[in-house]
Amino acid sequence: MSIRESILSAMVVTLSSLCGGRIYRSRKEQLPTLPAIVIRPESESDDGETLGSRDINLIVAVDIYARGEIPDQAADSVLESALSLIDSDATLGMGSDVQIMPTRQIEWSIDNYDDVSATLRLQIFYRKFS
Amino acid sequence: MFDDLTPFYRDFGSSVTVAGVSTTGIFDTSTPDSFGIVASTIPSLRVSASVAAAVGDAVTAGGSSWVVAAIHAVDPRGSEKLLVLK
Repeated sequence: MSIRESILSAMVVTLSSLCGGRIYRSRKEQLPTLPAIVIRPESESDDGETLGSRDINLIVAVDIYARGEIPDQAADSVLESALSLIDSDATLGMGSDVQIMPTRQIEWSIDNYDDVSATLRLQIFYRKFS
Repeated sequence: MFDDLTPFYRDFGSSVTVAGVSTTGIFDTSTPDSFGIVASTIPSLRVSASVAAAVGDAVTAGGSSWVVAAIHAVDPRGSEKLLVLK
């Protein structure tokens, strides 16, 4: 398993207490029950190998889906809980070669009047040795 | 284009209330997944243009209570309107 995949799996474990356990990896099948979370890799970049290691920036999207009269408000408690869990261990339990960077971005989108998608984008730095 | 819509409402319509007023409408539901992934149901009610309705009005149709979320003209002549419900 790649370090990337281990990071994504660790992210699922970190958030597993939320949404009644409805935490999915890169799911496109229909979500019948809300709230739910989908974790997916969005992009990855690095500047090449230096001194036997490669420093990699992985952008991970955490999509939180919820429904309510004020849609963004419906996702708020899950979003806050997710941020709290992520902040509790910036290494995701994977040691000093993995670090969730302090930079983050959140984007809200509303569909069909009451449904919201709150996408939390995290920058995760990891080091890969040759 | 039909001049008299009465037969359609008689055959396909049902008793509904819009903003507390009883009338006849054609109730339907569509199921567009939000964001292409979240299961969702969008009911709608087709009524005569003479039925007074505004966004936010209460509607009873299909055995449930709804709220008008949007209103669209069904045809260019303005003889009917479609109430999108939530």
